[in-house]
Amino acid sequence: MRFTFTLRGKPISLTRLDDVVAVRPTADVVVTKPSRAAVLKQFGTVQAPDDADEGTAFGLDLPARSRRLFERAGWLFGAARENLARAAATRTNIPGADAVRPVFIDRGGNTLIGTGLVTVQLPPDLTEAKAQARLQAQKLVPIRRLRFAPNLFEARLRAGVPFTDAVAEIQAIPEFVFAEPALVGVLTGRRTPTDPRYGDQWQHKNTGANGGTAGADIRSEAAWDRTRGAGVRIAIIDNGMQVDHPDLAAGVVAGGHFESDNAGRTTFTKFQSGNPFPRGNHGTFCLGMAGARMDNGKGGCGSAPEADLIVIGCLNDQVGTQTTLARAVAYAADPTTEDPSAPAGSRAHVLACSLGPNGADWDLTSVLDLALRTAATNGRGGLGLPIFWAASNGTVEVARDEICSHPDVIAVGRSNRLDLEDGSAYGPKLEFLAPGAEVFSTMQGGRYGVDTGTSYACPLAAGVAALVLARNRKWTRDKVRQRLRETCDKIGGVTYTAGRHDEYGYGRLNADAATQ
Amino acid sequence: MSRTRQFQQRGKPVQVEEVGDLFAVRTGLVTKSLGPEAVLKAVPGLSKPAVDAFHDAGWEFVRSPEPPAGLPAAKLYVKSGGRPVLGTNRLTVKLATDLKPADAEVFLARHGGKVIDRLKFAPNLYQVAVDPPAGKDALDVAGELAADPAVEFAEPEFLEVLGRR
Repeated sequence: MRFTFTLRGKPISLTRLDDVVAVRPTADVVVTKPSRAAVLKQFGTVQAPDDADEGTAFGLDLPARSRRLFERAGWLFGAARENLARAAATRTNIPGADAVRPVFIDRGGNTLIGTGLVTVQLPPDLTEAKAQARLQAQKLVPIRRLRFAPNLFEARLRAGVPFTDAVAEIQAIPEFVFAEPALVGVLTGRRTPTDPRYGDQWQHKNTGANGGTAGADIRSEAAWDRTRGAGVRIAIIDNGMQVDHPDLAAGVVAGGHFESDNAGRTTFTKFQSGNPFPRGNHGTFCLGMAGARMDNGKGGCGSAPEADLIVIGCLNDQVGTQTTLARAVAYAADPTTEDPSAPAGSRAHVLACSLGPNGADWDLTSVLDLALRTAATNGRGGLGLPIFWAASNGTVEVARDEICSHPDVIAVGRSNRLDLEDGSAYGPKLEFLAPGAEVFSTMQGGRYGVDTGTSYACPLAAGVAALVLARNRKWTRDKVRQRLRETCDKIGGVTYTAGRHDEYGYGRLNADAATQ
Repeated sequence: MSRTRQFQQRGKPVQVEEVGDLFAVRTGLVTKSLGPEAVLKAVPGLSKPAVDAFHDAGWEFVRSPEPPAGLPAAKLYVKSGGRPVLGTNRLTVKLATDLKPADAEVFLARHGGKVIDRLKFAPNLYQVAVDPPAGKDALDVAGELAADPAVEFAEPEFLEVLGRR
């Protein structure tokens, strides 16, 4: 059910979860993780189960991360059985509980718990006694005066009236300067990774150091406050990568590699930890841009530092056919095309590839076209697989590259630390830019370094898509694509026509805006 | 010495230049070959990064009016924009009719093709090796197959450089 009220003069709309209530047991009730279900049983309800499949959402549609923090703070979430639903609606208590409250979700997917409190300001020319009398006349019980502003009070709503109705009533009172409901939310600090080289990663947070422009970044930190991509699988296709890199290995969950013999026959070898895998600086760098681990005391981190990584090696010597590349694309979306025993849990949710000629035409064969269309349409159980591809480096038209201009492919160009386009392919088929000039990531040999290329903007963008999907599991690939487009920052000081510019596409990605 | 060749790709005619007197062989099979610079000189307009990448991947080029006798050799073609690709004896073929795999093999064999792989991401999609008669090559066979109403598409496979961006 929608709950709309006014905050600082603007309408705010929340969704009330009709099937969940928040219960805060009295202090004498010992609540531990194993005992939560038993405590809720005493209140005549059951604990909502975790969603075993995806791991980050649970049956009653509450974000699991918020849930954990609320539980640590003493709140329990249970099914809204009749007695609890009534108590939550009227703010009346039940034995053994200090509070039973309704639960809301805001537009950003954050959990909020209703309270019986409001903050009210009355006209400043009233004496305090008169102000208190006006509150009582509206059946509000003053709790305390907030002395940093005149006639500002915290007050309790009268019990018995549903929370949403009570808020609507007091917001309609013209003599109140404002009256706003108090909602309990999770206030976490902005997450700045502790990784020792994170400061070199201007792509996440550009402080203006090294000649950069402060804020010329993808706003990763604000997005990471909401999600770091846990439970989402990103497939990276590249010639080779160091899958046991100390900053990557923990994220690698599946994959394999395709190699051609001298006769042109291609074989697929499934990834197994500890077995040889084709190596390469380029792929290692790409992998790190999307999924290098966070807060592990090593290097920096990727844009989706808790996402799972599917590593797909393809043609380690850079020479092969589009049929092999088509097999790699198809494998990402549906690993059973190469490995009949592959579990559904090894299918990619997002795909990124940074292979292709630079500055030259690239024609598309029917077999690769078919693989792209099949993966894009049928991937993610029919929701569709977002496919990111690095546009050519060099000022050539994307349209000359039939792979990047494919309707199912999202062509990514590169921006620099000044928030300007950095000489990648242009034209109507360019989707958007992401940082890809002098960016810092993982390299072969367990090392780290700085490099430049659309190749690196592409997996960074794929990581942002993973963050969006972590927040919106059921979104189609078209919806993800649309969200990324419409939340880009219009950088470059150029004029965008109908939201686009041929050298900037829809602009530079903004992970914060995309994940709200 | 080159000639323009044409084949169908995604339903459209594609033209390539077939370089008649340069053939690619795997490194170590011949004693006298052209280095990348000589190849670029012999075929003006070729993409240097791509020629270098073929060389790095273990391909050498020999100048010869005919394919080197007794050696597996690939024809050199030049695609739009000066991109070099190497010919193979393989095609990707999608049959329009829903033939069982065994029947598909029989059908393709009638055109001189042998199934080397069934690509599982789409129905009736095969990687096919061809052994053209004298005077013909894989491009010719692709054209013949593509003209058969039982075939949705038949396209030649080329070895190309999948570089890094």
